[in-house]
Amino acid sequence: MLSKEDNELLTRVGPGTLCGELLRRYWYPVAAASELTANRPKKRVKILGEKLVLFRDEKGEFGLLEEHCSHRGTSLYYGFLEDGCLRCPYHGWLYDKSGQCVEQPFEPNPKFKESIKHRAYPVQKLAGLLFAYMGPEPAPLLPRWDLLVWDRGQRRIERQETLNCNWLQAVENSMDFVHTSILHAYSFKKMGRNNMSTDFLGRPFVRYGFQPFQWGLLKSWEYEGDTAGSGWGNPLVFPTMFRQSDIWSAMHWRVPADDSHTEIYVAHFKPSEDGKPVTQPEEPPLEDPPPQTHPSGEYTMNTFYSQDKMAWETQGEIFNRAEESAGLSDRGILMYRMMLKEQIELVQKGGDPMNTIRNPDQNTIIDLEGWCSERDTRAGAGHQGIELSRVRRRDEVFDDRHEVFEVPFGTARPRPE
Amino acid sequence: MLNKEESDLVTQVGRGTPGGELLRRYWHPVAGARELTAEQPKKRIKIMGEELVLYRDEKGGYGLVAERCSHRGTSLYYGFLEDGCIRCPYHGWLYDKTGQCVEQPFEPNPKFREHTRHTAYPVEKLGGLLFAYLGPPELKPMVPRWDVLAWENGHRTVIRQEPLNCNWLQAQENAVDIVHTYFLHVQTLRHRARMKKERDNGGGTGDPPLGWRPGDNDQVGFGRPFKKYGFQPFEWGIVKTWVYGGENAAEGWGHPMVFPNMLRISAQLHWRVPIDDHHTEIIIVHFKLTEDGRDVEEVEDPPVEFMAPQVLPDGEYAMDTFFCHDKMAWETQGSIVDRSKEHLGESDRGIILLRKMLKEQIEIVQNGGEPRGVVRDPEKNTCIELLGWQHEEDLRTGSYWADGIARKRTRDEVFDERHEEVDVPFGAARPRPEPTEG
Repeated sequence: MLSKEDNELLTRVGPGTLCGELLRRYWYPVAAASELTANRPKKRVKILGEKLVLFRDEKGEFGLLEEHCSHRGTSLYYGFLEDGCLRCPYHGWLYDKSGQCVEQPFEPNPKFKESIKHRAYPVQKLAGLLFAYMGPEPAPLLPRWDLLVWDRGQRRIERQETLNCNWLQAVENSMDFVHTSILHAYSFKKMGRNNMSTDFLGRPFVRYGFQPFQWGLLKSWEYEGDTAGSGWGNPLVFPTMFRQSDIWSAMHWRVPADDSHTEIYVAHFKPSEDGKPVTQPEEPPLEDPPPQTHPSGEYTMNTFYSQDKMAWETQGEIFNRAEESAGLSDRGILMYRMMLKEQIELVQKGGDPMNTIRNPDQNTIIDLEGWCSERDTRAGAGHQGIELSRVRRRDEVFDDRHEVFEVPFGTARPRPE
Repeated sequence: MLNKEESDLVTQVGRGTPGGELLRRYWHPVAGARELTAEQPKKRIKIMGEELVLYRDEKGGYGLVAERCSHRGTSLYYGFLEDGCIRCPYHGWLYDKTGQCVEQPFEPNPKFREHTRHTAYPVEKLGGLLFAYLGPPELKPMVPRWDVLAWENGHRTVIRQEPLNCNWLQAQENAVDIVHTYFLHVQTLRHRARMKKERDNGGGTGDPPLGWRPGDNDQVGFGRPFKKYGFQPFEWGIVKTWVYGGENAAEGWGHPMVFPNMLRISAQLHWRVPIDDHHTEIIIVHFKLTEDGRDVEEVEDPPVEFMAPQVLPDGEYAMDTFFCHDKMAWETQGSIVDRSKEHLGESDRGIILLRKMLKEQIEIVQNGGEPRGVVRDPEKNTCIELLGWQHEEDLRTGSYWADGIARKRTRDEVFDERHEEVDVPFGAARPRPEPTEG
C-alpha cells in the first residue's frame, strides 16, 4: 500500500517531477532506425511526457527536437529537412541538431536567433534501435547490454502495442514472480492450451525469492514434480528494463510515453547452433506484433503480452496503490519501490543514480546472461545452442540479502500424493 | 429552479452521496437473465458509479463483485469461475459470492485471506431480469414483484436501449412531464411526415416515415386536442391524469411514475438505472397476454432485445422513434442539466412534485428511516398490481381496455385532495372550438 503522495512520487514522469528527473538520467529506445527512411525521414515520438520529432538527415545522422516550434508552437513534424537542420513550416525558423536556431528568415537582428535554444536531445544507434537521452549533460554512455552486442546468433527487434497505463505497473510486474503461475500458466491451462508456459511456469511451485544485484533485482525459483528444476535470473534491470532468460533470451524496455501510456521495445536473441557469428543487418526491421485486443475491445488473452496487458491496464491508468492489499508474495514489488525511492533521493542530492555508466572500459559488453542460471530445457525452455557467457556460481550471486518464500500447498503447489 | 447544492442532492448517485444512499435502498435490474450464458457467463456492469462483474456459476447461481481485485486491482472480468467462486486471473485470489476471499495461492498466513472482504452484492432473478441490491445488507428488502414480472398468463420480453448519455433524473423527470408528449413525439412525427410529403413533391403521401402509424392524425393518442392534465400522488409514486377533446374525447389516468426510477406505460415497465452521474441504463420489460388469457405452462427466461442505435452515422439523432425523441431531449439538456438556469411553469408541476418527493425520501434515509416503496411484507408482494392504476375512459363508450387483466380502480379510489389539475390554454395544443350556432 502506498499513500497518495508516494504513489504520485513513484509514477509521474513529466519534466520537473522527481521521478521524471531520475528517469531522465537513462537512455531509452525511441524507434528503430529502419523506421526512418528517405521517404519518411521524420517520426513523432512522445517520451516522459514530452512531444518530440525524431529525424534522419541526408547524411544519415539523427536529430531529436521538441515538436513545437519555439517561435509560435507549430509542429516541426511538418517541417523541412535542410542540411542536417529542421525548418519550421510556418515561418521558416531553422534549427540544427543541438537545437540552436540558425535562421529566422524575417528577423533582422541576428542576436535574436542566437538566443533561441530549442529543446534538443542526443540520439545514438545500437543494434538497429535508436536511443535518446533527455537528462542533464554530460550524458552517460549508452549501455552496451550483452544482448545488443552479441553476434553469434540472430537478433530481432520488436515494438509491442502501446500499453495504455502508467509504466510502473509493467515494471512492478517484473518483480512479481508468482503471477507467472496464474496469469500465464493457469490461464493457458484453463483454455486447454498446453504450451511452454504451462510446461515451464505451471510446474508445482515450491519457492521463489528476490536478490538485489549490480544492475537491479534478480529472482530465484524452485519447482518440483516430474520436471523439477531451480534457478535464478530474469532480472529487473534498473530503472525500467526486464531481462528474460528462461524460455527465451530477451530484453524489454518499458519507455514511459507519458503518465498513462508506455511503449515497450523488445530485443530477442537466439544463439546459432554452431556458435558461429551471424551477420546482422545494419538496420533490422522493427516487428509489429498483431493487436492484443479483439475489435470488440476485449483482450484476446491468448498471448503472454495480451495477458499482461489485461492485468496492467485494468489496474487503471495510474493504479491507485492506496487500494491494494500487498501480501508476502508482493515482496519483490516493495523492494523495487524502495530502490526507486532511494535513487530518486540520490539524484535530488546531486548524485549519479545506479546503472550510470561513464567508463568506456566497462562498456564493451555488459553481461546480464551470466546472472541467469540453468534453463530447464527438460521443462520446455528453449535450447540455448551455445554458451554465451560464463554462468555465475550460486555463491557469486546470492548473499544475505536473498529473501526466499515458500509457496503454500494449494492451487499453485499441489500437495504431493 | 434548483441551486447547485439542491441539484447535487437529487442527481448524484455515487456511494456516500445522499441521493446514492437513497437509490441503494432499492433493487435495480442489471441485466436480462439470458445475457449470461454458458459461453459468456460474465458481464461487466457499472451501476451508481461502481464497476462490477456479474457472473453465473456452474449451478446457475449469480454473483456480483467489484471488478477490480482487492489484491492489486486487476479486472476479475477476465477471471475464472470455479465452484461458484471467481478467481482473479493475475495471482489467483479466489472470492465467494459474499466477497469473502477463500484462497490466496501464494500467501501462507490464512488470517490474511480471512481479513480480505471484497465488495460483493446480492443478485436475484425475477421475471427474467437480474436484480442487484447495493444497500446496507441488514436493510435488504424484497425484490418487488411488479405485476409485469409476476403474471403468468403471458410472455415477457426484455428490451434494452443503448445507454443514455446523461444523468438519470432527466429521464425520470420526463416521466412526470405529461405535456411533452404533444410536441416532442406527435408534432415531431407530423413534421417529419409533412417534410416527407413535400420531398415527394406532392405526389401522394409517399411512404410514411418510421414511427408513423397509418391513421395517426390529430384525433388520436397524444395528438388529440389537449384540454387538461394533472398529477396525483399514489401508493407507488405519481399518477398522471388527462382530458382530451375532439373526435376521440376521453379522460383518464395512469402512466405512473413509480418511485424512485421507474415508469409504467400500459404493460411495460421501464427502469432508469444510473450507470454513473452522467450515464443511465434503460431496461424495459414488456408483457403480452396469451391469446386465450391462460397461464403459460413453463415460464422461461424472456428473450432480450437490444434496440438499434438512435443516432445516425453522422452523429445526429434519427428522430424516428419515441425513444430517440426522448434521448435527444434528455441528452441535449446536458450531461447533468443545470437546473439553476431553468424556468419552470405550470406544466412542470409534476417535476416539482417528484423533486419534492425525492428530497423528502433522501431526508428520511438520512434520519435513519425507511424510504417509500420498499417492500418487506411477503403477503403484499405476491403481485404488486400497477395496471389497475391506469385507466382511460372513452367519453362516448365507457369501455375499459384492461378488462379481465386487472381490477379497474374507481375514480374515488384514485383521486384525493392532492390531485392537482391544470387547464391547457387555447392555442397550439388545444385549438379553440368553432363557435356553435345558437
